[in-house]
Amino acid sequence: MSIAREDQKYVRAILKAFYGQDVSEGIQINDRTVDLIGQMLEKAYSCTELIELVPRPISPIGARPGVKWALKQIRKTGKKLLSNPSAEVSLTCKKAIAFSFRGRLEMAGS
Amino acid sequence: MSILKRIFLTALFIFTISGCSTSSKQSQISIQLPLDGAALQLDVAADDQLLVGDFFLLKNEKGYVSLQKANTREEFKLWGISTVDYLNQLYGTATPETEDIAAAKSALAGDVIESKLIAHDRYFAVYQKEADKRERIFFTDKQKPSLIYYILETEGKDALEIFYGEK
Repeated sequence: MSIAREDQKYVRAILKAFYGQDVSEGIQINDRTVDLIGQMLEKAYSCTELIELVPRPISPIGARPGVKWALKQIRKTGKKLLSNPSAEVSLTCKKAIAFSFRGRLEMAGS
Repeated sequence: MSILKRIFLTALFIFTISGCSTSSKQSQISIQLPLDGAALQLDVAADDQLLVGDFFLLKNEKGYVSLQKANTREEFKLWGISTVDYLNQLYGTATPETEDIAAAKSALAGDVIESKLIAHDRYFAVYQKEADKRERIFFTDKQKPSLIYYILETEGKDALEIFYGEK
């Protein structure tokens, strides 16, 4: 599944919010990256005012997690970040989630 | 991130922190520096060291090892918290003293199936294992307290073996 240009912009905005400009530009955007960012947003839901989470649909066992669901979250959150880059995100939550997903994001983009 | 930096980030896991020792014997190995659809070969000696920024990644088909360098400068400014207390409250056994840390701990807790403090002569360290067998060790120097800490993360490799420098 190719990621639309508009969606890529939102993905970059979210990556930038978590990792800053330099790191976010180095992460490749693909299905796996999008899914991981969806998981990051899901975790951040409880500790940030940015995200209005739609519950993740339950996938059959063994199925890939929902990229479409992740894209929905990314669009909503990405739009907010682009319109208000200084939107409040809990410091510890943002850092802890960012560290928790960095390795997987780098692997997903390679 | 520059291509060179990305190449080096994926290159080699020889670093100078305690517990990760190298032999003086010269190694005959070479490693691949990945390019798009190709790779450069780099000969590596056992006493070579890799300089990286705040993130290092070594990967193969079976999994990966990453090392991240982090700091608690903002947390210290906000709450006057030491790095040991921060790690213990966020990842370890201590009860969080701020709502911010409590919320983050709660957000991350779902994936963690094992969490414990582990002993080390030099470092205060917390070990965590996730349901999909990812392992992490969060550690900071307890002999010379600082605002720096490290996160060693593995998938498909034993994080404790790497942390303790076992073969």
